[in-house]
Amino acid sequence: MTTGSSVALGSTARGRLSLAFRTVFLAFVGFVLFGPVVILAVFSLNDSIILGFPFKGATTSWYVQAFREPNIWASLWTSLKVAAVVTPVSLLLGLTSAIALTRFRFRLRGTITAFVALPLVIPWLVIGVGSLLFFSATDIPLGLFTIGVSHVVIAFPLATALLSAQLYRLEPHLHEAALDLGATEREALRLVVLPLLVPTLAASAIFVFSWSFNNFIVSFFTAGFENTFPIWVFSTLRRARDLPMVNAISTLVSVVQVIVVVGAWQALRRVMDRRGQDIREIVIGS
Amino acid sequence: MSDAQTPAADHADTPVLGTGYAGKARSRGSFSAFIYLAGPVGVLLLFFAGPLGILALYSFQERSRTGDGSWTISNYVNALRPQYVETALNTLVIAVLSMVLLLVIAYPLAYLLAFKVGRWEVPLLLALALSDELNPLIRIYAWRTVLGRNGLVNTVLTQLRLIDQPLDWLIFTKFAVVVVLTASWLPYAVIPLYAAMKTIDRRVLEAARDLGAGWWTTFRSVVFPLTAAGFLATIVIVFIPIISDFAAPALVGGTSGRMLASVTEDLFLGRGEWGIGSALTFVLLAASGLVVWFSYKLTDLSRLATHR
Amino acid sequence: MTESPYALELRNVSKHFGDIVAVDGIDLQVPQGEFFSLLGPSGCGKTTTLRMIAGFEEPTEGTLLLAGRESNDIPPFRRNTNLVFQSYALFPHMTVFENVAFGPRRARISERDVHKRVMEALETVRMHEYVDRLPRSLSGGQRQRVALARAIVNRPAVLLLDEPLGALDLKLRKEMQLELKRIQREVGICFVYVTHDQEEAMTMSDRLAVMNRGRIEQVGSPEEVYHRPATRFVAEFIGEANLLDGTVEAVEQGAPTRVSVAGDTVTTVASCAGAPCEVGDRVSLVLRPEHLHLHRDRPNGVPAMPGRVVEAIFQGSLIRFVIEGPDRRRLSVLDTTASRDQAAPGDAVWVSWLPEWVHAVVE
Repeated sequence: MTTGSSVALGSTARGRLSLAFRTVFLAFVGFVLFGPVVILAVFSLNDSIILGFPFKGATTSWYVQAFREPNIWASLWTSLKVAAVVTPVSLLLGLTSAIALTRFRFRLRGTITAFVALPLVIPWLVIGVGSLLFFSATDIPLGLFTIGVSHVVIAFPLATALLSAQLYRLEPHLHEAALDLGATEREALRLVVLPLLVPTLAASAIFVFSWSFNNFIVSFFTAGFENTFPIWVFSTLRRARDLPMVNAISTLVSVVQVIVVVGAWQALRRVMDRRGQDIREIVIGS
Repeated sequence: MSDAQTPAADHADTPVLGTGYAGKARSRGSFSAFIYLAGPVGVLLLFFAGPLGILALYSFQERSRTGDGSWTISNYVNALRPQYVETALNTLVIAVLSMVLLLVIAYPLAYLLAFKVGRWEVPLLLALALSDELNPLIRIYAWRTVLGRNGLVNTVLTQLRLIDQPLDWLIFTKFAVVVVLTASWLPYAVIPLYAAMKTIDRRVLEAARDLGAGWWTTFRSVVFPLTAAGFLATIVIVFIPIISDFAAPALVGGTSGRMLASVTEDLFLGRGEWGIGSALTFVLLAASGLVVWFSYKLTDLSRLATHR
Repeated sequence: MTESPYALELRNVSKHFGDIVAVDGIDLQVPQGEFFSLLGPSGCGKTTTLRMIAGFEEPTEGTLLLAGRESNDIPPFRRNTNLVFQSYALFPHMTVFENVAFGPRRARISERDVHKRVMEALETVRMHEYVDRLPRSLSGGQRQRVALARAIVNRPAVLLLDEPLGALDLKLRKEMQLELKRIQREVGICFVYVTHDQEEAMTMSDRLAVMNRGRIEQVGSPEEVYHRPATRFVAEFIGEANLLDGTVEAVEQGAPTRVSVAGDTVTTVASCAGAPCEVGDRVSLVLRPEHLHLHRDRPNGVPAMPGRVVEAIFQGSLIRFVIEGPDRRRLSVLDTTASRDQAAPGDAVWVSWLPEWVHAVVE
């Protein structure tokens, strides 16, 4: 009796210890991922030009200053415009390539699959620098177009990867079942395959939009005189006097991003739950 | 044509989605594929292969403000100048340290997510994904609030009277770059490992425990072999962006945390030395390729070793 | 075009995948309205055959006729065949109604007729109360019924079923076997049913084909295939069989009357499958366990073989004896008249059979 209970006690004690260890570890990871940004948000209200303790009292003056800075809004607008064009284009290219690479047998399929995946393993810096040289050699003026094109080159293979993974996961006979029931290739695609890809398309859209909106290094080389938001942040960080303003706008942008992304994930999750699909598959895919 | 092989076994003979079928000749399959692929492949040929090609071309030409475009290998010779070699080594040290730190954190994290957190699995996974949707520049820059002279660490340590002077090696050093790179790429390191672990049947782990295997044996003989591919994927996915990272050294690296990307940027945008810049970029590309190849061999070997 | 009595005809059809020959020159004729099974172990080519009929694979050689019409080149969506997949392949984003209506809607008929036909089909499979459910919320058996309705609603000339009961548990499977038979009789469509389960095939089929290594070993009614297996493979694959290898000693009208088995001479007046037997042929004698009887003493007037009881297993309505004969050969005996007290393990017994129940297979 006593032995039994002491063993039980021992195992719960060990259980509690490992639970505590896990909690601390997860808290640590949480801090690594979000801690700095949260602290930055707090300091964006600090009435001091120095980024650091002690806290000198709350002020919203940095936000007011940020609101009055036209360059911020111009750069945000540029980033939004680029992402808003890059996203649909990348999804379209990603979708067509994923369908072709998973659904057809043809010569060179292996080679083309590798080619489409290649931009994912080439450093972005290399693509940025190469694009700069390419555009200047071909006399294509740097600007919105060149930013967008260089983003698409990296973003659509991402969409291809996500979408082909989902196409491979789909019940393999669904497409055949549609054909068997009298649907043409096109109808099978429109009525069966595409509707089942919608959640993945949505996830890809969130992913590609965020990536394009946030990208710094590729835009940096291909932007010319355009300022995207990340470029504006990067160049403003060199001016100590403007740092509090960067803190304020960064906080604001991050808050909006969190709201939008969390909202989109929630909506997506609800749709997928109803269909019995698992959102984890899509996260893994990304 | 290797993909056209279909096993004759009764149930294995259904390839995923796309099969040619009766009445649909192979040539028509190729034709449809061509229609679908014309756009994507066209874009890549022009705006991806084009830039890489030009980069390759320029690395063998005299390309600078004074250069005349004649053929040369001097760019590669110049790329071996001591200052570049030093930066390259610096880059390698930073990348390897970050990589090790990443795996040390990501591996147990992936394990917890896959097997131990229960109903928190999806929220935590989405939190991981969410952190990656934030602006990387802001995430990097925000580390100044933690590591800076008046940052969290220095303030806490001073308050606790563990130090009199703020530590000055926390920021604008290699240390800072390693910390920041690790934090930035953590989501990318965890996801492939998590995906690999998800393929392990929980019952296999329980069976191993049941057969009396300790956690180390379970890990070595069950978990690791089954996650070796995820390990490889993580290294490939994370090492390449780390070795070519520009923002982290620029924002928190100072002079001791300089990496190859900063030098490349300076060569292209600052000094107009396109030839040497191109050559250095190709060295970077070769280094990434080498790492991919090496880690591939390594996982292959480890798999062989554990399967014996 | 003349009306063909056959819903389906295969003439010397082969399918190669690279160097692998999945189906090797098979001939088959299935009349309208028949429940026909393709039976064989996995890898025997039955699913490939089915996929060729459905149009998902093109025969490498030979001709495929559907309702008398050559159909090698007709794509699946223009074929008058429908396939019930082993995994059901129900569209997860569509309700039961939408799933079943998928086929009729492709046929461009009025939505009212679609509704009528869908409800009819759902009533046939007794799923008309589930029209608005998503496949995810249905049980395995219910999904199975919906998959069936989705196929029969199109009134195909041939309905193909690829191991449709494989995913169900035993009890449900038995139930669905009878249901499938009922539905087939009701709709009168020709069913071609692929399975590796011989009992399933025997229960439902009017006729069946036993396949092995890409070839058809035998076509016939369940009784024919059971009682007169054409090959040793069929004898072993269908039901339980004791096989005695021997050499023909005497022949009468192509059937062996005496066969020497390991030195003993066995008298048979049995049938012989395949080519007529000749003296000296190597044959296998097929003895079904239920045709064997146990005796304490040597019986008179019937062929018999001495042996020793190894095991006596109570199986409810009958008892299964495992008998070890001379040269350690084992025989399985199902005797409804014997009891366990009569023959316990270790006892010496005689096993007898009626000559007319013995069937010989030339090797």
